[in-house]
Amino acid sequence: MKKQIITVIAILLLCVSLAYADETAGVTNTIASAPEVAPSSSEGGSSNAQASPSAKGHDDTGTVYKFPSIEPEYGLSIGYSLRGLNGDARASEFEYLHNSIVFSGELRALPFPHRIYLDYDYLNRKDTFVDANYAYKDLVLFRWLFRSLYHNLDNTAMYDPTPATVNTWRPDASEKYGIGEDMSNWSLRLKTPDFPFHIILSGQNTDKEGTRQVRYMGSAPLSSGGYYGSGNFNEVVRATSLRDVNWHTSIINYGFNSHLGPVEVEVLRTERKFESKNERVLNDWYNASGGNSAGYYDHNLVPSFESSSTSLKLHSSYTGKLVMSGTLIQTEQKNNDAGVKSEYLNGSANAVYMPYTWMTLYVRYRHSDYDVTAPATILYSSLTYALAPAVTATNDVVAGVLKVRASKHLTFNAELKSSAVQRTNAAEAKLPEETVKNSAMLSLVSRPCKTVKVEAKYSRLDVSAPAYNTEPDTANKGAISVSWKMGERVSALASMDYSKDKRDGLLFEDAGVSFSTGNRDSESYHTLGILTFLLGNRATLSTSYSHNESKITQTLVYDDFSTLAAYILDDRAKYLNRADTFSLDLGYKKSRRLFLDASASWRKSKVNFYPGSEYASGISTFSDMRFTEKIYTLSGIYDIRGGWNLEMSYKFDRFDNLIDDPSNPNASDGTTHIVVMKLTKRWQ
Amino acid sequence: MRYRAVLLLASTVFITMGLFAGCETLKSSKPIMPVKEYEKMIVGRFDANYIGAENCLKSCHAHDKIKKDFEASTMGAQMSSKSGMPVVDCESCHGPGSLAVEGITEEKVAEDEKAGKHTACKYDTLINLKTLPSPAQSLICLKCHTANATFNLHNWNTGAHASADVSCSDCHKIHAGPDLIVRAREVNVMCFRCHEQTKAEFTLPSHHAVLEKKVICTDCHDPHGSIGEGLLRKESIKETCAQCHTDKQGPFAFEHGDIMEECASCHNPHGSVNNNMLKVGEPFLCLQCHEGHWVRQAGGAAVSKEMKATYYTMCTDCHSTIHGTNLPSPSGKGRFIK
Repeated sequence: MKKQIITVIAILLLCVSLAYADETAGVTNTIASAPEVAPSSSEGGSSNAQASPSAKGHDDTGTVYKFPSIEPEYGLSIGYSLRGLNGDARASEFEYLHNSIVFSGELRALPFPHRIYLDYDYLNRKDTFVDANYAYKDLVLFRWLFRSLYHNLDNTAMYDPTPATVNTWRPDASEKYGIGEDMSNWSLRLKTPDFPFHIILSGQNTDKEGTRQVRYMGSAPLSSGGYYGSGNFNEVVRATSLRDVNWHTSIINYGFNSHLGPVEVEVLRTERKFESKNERVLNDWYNASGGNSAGYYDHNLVPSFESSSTSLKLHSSYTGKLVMSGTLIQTEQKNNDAGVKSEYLNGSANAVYMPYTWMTLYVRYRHSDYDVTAPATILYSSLTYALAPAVTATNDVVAGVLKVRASKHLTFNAELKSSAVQRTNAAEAKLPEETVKNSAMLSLVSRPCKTVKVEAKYSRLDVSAPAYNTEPDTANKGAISVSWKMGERVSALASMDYSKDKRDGLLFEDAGVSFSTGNRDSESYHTLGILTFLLGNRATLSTSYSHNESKITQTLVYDDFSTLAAYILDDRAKYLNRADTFSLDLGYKKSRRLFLDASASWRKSKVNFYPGSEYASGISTFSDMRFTEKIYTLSGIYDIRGGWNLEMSYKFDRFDNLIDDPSNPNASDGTTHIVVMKLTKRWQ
Repeated sequence: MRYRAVLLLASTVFITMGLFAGCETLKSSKPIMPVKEYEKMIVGRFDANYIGAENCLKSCHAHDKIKKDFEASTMGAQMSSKSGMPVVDCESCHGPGSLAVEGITEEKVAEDEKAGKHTACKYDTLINLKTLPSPAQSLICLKCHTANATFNLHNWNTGAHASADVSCSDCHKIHAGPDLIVRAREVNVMCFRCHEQTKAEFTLPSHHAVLEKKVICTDCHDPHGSIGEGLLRKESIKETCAQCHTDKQGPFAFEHGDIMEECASCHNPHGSVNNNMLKVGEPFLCLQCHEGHWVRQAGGAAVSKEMKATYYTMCTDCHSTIHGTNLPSPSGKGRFIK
């Protein structure tokens, strides 16, 4: 990736120097344009009253247009970043916590008709940003956006109440995991001179490299020799191990678009490939179980995938009373390891009709069709296994939205939407053959006065034959938001939304038999408040508080080995998610040269599961979570003089896992310190 | 195969129709007319003349920087009258300027400057862009961008932003500099000006690195409109996620019902309290739909704490290939163990 970055920067710098060399050699880049016209208000009337105002550009005199001369602007920064970690890297999850030189550069060069922009930021070898743009008139447009990041990953401990057992196997207990990700997006658009016909080429590459933990049902070596673990109920061993990741996704798009009379059309072809370049599959020993003899078996295979799609887009003019667009996308996907193929057809048609300025009608139709072709059997470790027919489906969605501007201060929106999913092979997967969802939504936006804006929304959803227990029979959601500018110095925003879902007749399966029982109630609640103050002419203070909460009460079902019943009903098991975040930000312009910023945020979150059945008591201790995180930042920019400035920033991040593992009370707790100092010089 | 044939046929029909219509139709057609009522708002004063950008600023240089930035931009470079495309300058958006600069001469400007006064033009004779309703503001841009095959606006008119009265100028600050698009690292800041609740979700413990500016809102969303729900960049949630998480794309030999078609059934891609951005933590996530392993033994007593720890910590400790797998479990079925 470094080579790619250097190559692109070198090409851009070459373009700049060639373009400037071209100019200094006396070649003037000119095109024809409208001649200068002296102001003549006395003439009266406009020659363009009925025409587009820009029609004046039509000119047959051949007068040349002289591009302005704009000096290039560029800047260079160099500095150093100190990074310290104490404990778990969950604090600063997306930072590569190693000291490094930091370097950045910016360039804007306009040797017309060329235009060149470059923005480059190097924070460390895992964290780089590049945004490079080149344009030649309106004929060539090129952009390359590159980002890399480092994701610190968890090494999840397995809770084992009796450490002497062999039910867990963790050879990776001391590993530190993380994956570096490089995301590269590029696009090239070529246009024919004097006519809107474009050839489009673009692509995206995503590379993930590093190590991560794999958790799986495995086997553990015994001190007496041999292994314990069959991958089945008779010998359960939960194992974790390190996995080397080197995954590569490449996407390429190519096509064209143009005017074709009254419509515009675009045809685009996309091809995508994914492969794991190493350690595609893990392999471990399993003792005999069921029909499987003892031996080494593959598991956790990362297949290679390919997909291709062709899209056709048509639309009418974006102006006018009636605007229409249609899209058709056909996609094929293939699993190269299993020989399974899927096909999608997605189509949409949209129309907007605006008969009056105070009324607009939107209509949207979507159709999607999903089909799978799979072999009837697969071969695994010399045994043949039957594959169940895959669930395939069609989905049709129709939505209509009516927007009415009742007055200058009040606008209503009303939406009706209906979707129908029809499945084949549904019975095998215990899904309904058809699920229909109907929803209605009403919203209003009001400005009762210049400084206040109110938005309110209510929606209702009804589902017939929900497919999964998490889909409700009915759902109601309300939201309200008020923003208020109180004078010149204070502004406030308060919003909240509340939703409630209900479901009766949940579907479960026991010993191959499906049955319907119990019910589910789910509520979620979000509030947000923000206050911003202008303190004098030099400082701003912003505070915010947000609360996110979800509660579910549901009937659960557990298996039962006693002779009394086949399963146990747990009526009214409860689940709770909750997070509160409070933050404060102060920006202060001490003087013309010095700007300071300080911020603090505190976050508390928790997850609790409360089973109701006496037999399930104690389960919740294995999944309850409680975290706090505190983040403090301090930064300053000092404008030295002559285009020089000095920038310093400090970030403190403390992550605490409040539910400690008794064998390691500091597990998942971490503190990070990040200091960045940069000296910048700008030339304009 | 039959879908490909349908698509090919549709493409051929439409392209053939278009070729017959031809570009001559475009050049000889009437100018693009904005929707009625909004027409007057964006055409400007009928008693004013167009004078050209050079003459707008001939005497007064207060907007020299704006003009220079504009000329440095993509629109400024599109200056060939032979193209039949509109020449884009001040008056293309602000309306004819002859009345605005009436009476303003270099001498007057110099005289006012000596007196410490700023010479204002009669800007109230120009189109007041800030007070236009958002569809009219957007029409200022759409009247030209409808003619140049701007396909990123393909679904604009029916998109959530257009129907929420968001106009082009809410995001594209034409005079902020020569960049007419927001720079990549400023996109998130711009989106969060309106989507504050979404910003709050990104502060939850498990989140995409948007606040850290490693991931950009436009990686997943197309603000100009799309056929996917929630202005998603691709036609479905799964296709959007699979741009980066291609290892979950599928298809697999053993699928997880059809729930894999919608990643948002289990995940909240903005952020969540739970690991892996799960909406609900394990094991409750799975118990919502599936019967849990046994909690009572053959003799009638509850199973041991060790057994509960094995089965009720995280289901994916054992069912690790939960997104789909090519390998059967020991029972021969797709239990996502291998």
